[in-house]
Amino acid sequence: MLADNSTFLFLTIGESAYLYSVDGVQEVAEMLPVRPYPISMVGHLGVINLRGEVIPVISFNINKMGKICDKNKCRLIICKDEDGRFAFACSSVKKVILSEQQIAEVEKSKITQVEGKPAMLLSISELLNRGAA
Amino acid sequence: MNENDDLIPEFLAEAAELLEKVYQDLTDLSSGVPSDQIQGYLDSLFRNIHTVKGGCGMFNFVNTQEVAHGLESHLSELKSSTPKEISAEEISYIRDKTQQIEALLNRHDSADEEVATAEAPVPVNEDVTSAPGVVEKKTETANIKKEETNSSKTVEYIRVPVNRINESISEISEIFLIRNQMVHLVGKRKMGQIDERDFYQSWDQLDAALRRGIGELERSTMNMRMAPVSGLFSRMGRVIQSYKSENKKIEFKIFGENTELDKKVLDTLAEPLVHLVRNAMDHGIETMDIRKSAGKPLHGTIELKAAIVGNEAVIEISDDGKGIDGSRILASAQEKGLDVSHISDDKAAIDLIFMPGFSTAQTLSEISGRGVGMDAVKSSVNALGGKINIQTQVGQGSTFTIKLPVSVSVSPVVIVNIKGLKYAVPNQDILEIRQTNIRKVEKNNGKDYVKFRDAFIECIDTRNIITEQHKDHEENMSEASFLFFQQNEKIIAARVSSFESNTEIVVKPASKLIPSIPWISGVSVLPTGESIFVISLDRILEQVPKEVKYAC
Repeated sequence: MLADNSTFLFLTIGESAYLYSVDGVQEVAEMLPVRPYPISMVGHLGVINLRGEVIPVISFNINKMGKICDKNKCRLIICKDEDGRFAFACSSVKKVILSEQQIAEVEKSKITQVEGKPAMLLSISELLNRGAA
Repeated sequence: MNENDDLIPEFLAEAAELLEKVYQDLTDLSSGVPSDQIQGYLDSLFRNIHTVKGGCGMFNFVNTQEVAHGLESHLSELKSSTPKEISAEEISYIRDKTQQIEALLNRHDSADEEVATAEAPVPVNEDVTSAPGVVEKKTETANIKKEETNSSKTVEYIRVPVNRINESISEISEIFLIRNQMVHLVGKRKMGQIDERDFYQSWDQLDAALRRGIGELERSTMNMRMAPVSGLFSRMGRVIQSYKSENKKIEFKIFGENTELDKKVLDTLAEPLVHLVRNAMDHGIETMDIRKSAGKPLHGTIELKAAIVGNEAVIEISDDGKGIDGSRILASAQEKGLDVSHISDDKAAIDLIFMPGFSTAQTLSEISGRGVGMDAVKSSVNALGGKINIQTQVGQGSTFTIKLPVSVSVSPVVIVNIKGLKYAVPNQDILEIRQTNIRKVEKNNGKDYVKFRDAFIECIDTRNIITEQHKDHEENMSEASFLFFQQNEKIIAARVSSFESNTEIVVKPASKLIPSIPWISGVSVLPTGESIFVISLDRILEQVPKEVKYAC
């Protein structure tokens, strides 16, 4: 089983749609200024100040912030794993409850249809290890 | 899971203090105390070991309790005999037993739970575990049986004097009262009971009081983390006392043991200091034959000193041994095929010992050859935001000086701009900052030089290392901004795009998820809310490729 509940974040990054389990998500925040690293790092955008805590922002190749993100709509997904908190940006986000059929599809092929779009399942480990998607 | 398991870390901290007292008593006894005081010392030894034993029983540390019980019984017999003097052999026996208890307790304190509970043998020298005049079973080299502990490994404890806690509580009360006054003042202003001029005047006064209160609270809270270096120095003394060599005799002296450092700094410093002390014993101090022929006292001396100088703690480890021969270090580096083309003087050659894997020891010693190199010592010191350097003279001895921030708290920094992005550089890393006309930067043989206190100083350019830049950034082409800093004895100028401001920040370690950049020593947030990286000039210098190192 993916999770005990069927609640996911349905988010778009550029033109792609993704599903992300709410389990690892701490909050969805409005876009904050991203401070780039001194040297460019594959898979990383930089850091943000989240209420006094400096946390890294993971990057996706398709997620060139500023190009696809309308600052008013763009959101930061704040996640936590055992090594600490991190964030990634998305163009839009909403909470969805998947049907049993959708969950079965996600478990089988990591992809299902949500609101007429194919949505791929993202996981924390994928986010942290893949760098650029 | 035992209901008392939550208390294990607290017991281990208390036991460590009690054993520290035992070691101190033994040191006093070995230095010689009047015969009428011996009974008092034995009472103290007995009492402390008895308390440790009791705790071990409470937490079911069976083997530790067994060793403590044996020592307690021995001390009880010794007390009953009302001795007028305590022999060196006796002191050595008690010390070894105490070390055995300490080693067993440390396994419970270990971060590796498997080690803590494994049936691992405790190394004990059988020759010294036999009590003087007592026929004892040689099975004392006890195996640790599986002792059930589920102590929380993540919880750290520090023992804080009550007056320091009261100090912080008092500051919190003051801040609370100021906050109430601020709320009252704002209320008055909203009701129109106070005009704007008076409001701002009162507000400024309260704001100043609040800042002062927060500063005091920060100071008193950080004080809770402070502990004297005496425990650490005492541990070094035990390292030296446990050194057994027929050819060497070593005297140990300590100075400034009441100097206080952040507990975290003390904990991290223990391993590097042990390494330096072992190095001094093993490679520094000569054998008695050699010392005699060199006209030196037969006893070698190792000194540990601690002092607070300005905002830094300075710890010195010195020996009066043979010193470090720069030419020998250089030759060894060449033999190993290391690039030594940049080594221009003896000092730089000696600094090669901090290179990873570098060692001139012909054979790995039982004492110091444990695979921990001087590079690890330097890394540990750097990780604490400190620096280490060596002063040495062949035939006279060596002094390792470690400079550390007193606490890991608020740091004054210079905010610099490099390619349009801000970075913080700790004040303690900087000798001087200076903005100069670009025409005053002299070029010679591919290197750039700038004048500093009547001497031309080589430059590095941080703009060559930092690749990211702000899209709107434009370099100032007429002025050059330099940070002058010192690495070992050498002064170096680091060029940045410009200076922004001076401020104070709380430097925090970077999250594990932030990609590792060796010269980023921490992160922080500016008063404007911007995130900022804290850079280490020393480490930048290590990272600069030689071909661009000196091109400003």
